[in-house]
Amino acid sequence: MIEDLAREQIENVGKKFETIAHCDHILLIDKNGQIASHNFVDEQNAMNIRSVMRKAIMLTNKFSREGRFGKHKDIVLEGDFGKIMITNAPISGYFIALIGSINMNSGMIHAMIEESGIKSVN
Amino acid sequence: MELTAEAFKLYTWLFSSIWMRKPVIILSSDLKDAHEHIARLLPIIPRYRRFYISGIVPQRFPVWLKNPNIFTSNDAHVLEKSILSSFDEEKHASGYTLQLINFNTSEIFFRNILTKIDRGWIAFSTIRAEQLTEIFENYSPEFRHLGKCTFIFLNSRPRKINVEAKLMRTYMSGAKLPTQNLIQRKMEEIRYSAEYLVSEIENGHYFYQAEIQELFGFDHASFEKCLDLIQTEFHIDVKRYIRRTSTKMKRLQNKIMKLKGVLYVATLKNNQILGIKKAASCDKVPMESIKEFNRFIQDFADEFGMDAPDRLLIDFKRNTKFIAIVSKSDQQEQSLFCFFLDNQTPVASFLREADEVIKKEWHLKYRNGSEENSIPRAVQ
Repeated sequence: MIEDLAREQIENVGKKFETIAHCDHILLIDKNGQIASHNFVDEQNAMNIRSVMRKAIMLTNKFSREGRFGKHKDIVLEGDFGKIMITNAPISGYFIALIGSINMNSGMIHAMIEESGIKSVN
Repeated sequence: MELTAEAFKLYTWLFSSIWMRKPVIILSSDLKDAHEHIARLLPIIPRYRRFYISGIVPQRFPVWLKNPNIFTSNDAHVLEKSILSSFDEEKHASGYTLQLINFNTSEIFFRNILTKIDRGWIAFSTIRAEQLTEIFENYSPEFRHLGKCTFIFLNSRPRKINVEAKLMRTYMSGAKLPTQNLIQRKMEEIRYSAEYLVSEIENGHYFYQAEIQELFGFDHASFEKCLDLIQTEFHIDVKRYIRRTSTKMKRLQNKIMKLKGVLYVATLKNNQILGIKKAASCDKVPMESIKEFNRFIQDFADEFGMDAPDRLLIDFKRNTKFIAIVSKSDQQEQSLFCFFLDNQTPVASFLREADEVIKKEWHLKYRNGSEENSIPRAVQ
């Protein structure tokens, strides 16, 4: 139910993000890094990104738990591929992952997510 | 226990000499007074030591120690043989170390036995200081006076005594039993760490200073003490097996720490920690997790078929930001710089400033043609 609703929302806001925030893809993932919704055309690329995100979330959770740093807001990876940003979704237990250019701005992304109306069905 | 500044200093040297097994002689015309000095320190002498007592033992003295071995022989030859063989045995058997306390030491005992043992003994005597200088002519003794006693540190007095001074302050400040236990625990901790390092060295491994300090939670002084202990208790020249944090790395990290909002900086190369610097307010950082991030970045291309990231940033909800910057040298050697920033510090401005510091250091190294010019590439 959550996934159905979120998929629809993500697909709607994804188009907006692509044009405004230097963001090429927007994904909704659960805490295990599984994609609940995505707009990838290239399935191989999607699989790679999914693995990266799963590992990044897993390592960050471990890091945060061992160091008692509390919950994390954003995880950002930057490289020649551009930028991958994983941030908490307004839906509990889910993350929104964004893949875009190096110019993708996290402040703007947060504002847009807030405005986009993505929310939990509960 | 109330002590004058002079007495405190002397007791600290005495404590350090005993812990590090440096020979000490206490001369006094009144031996009872001399025994009191050592009796005060007995509760904080390492309990793992095996105590041997010889000479004319004062009546109460064995009570202060737990199960000491007492050499009772009156035959000088038998005594000499048994003491020397005990020390010789210690050198070949790991697991215990000896501490000999000799009372009312005669000139012959000094000449025949103590001149042959270079470690782990304290001797009380009433002989003249000039006689001792003659007996130990190969040493460079340092004489100090306290009340009626003369303390002679045979290999000059101990120098690096930060840890001992701290423990002595603890010993004198608090309740008797808890402080004694705290001190014993600290000494055990250093001893166990030394044991671990020795076993690793025997397996052919070497260590990075920052790695050890982080692993055992040691400050610099405790780390040095651990190395001294390896030298003195295990007879291993440990310095050959330790890779110290380089001066240039320290300078680079000091400069980064001066930037606004920086709580922590660590540098890794080949998954070894080259250096760590942190603010007092920074809690312990799980180094194994940082190493996992390092491996994640190193194996990125192989594992995920994508170009490896140059930066990783984690923004925590509470009050910190973690940033890892990958830096490649001209020789394609990869280093990872990790930082913790407080939440008020903007990432962009920090990266700009860190970039300048790293660039400057790198150019400095490049100009000097130093081997360390491989450390940081300028941050993009």
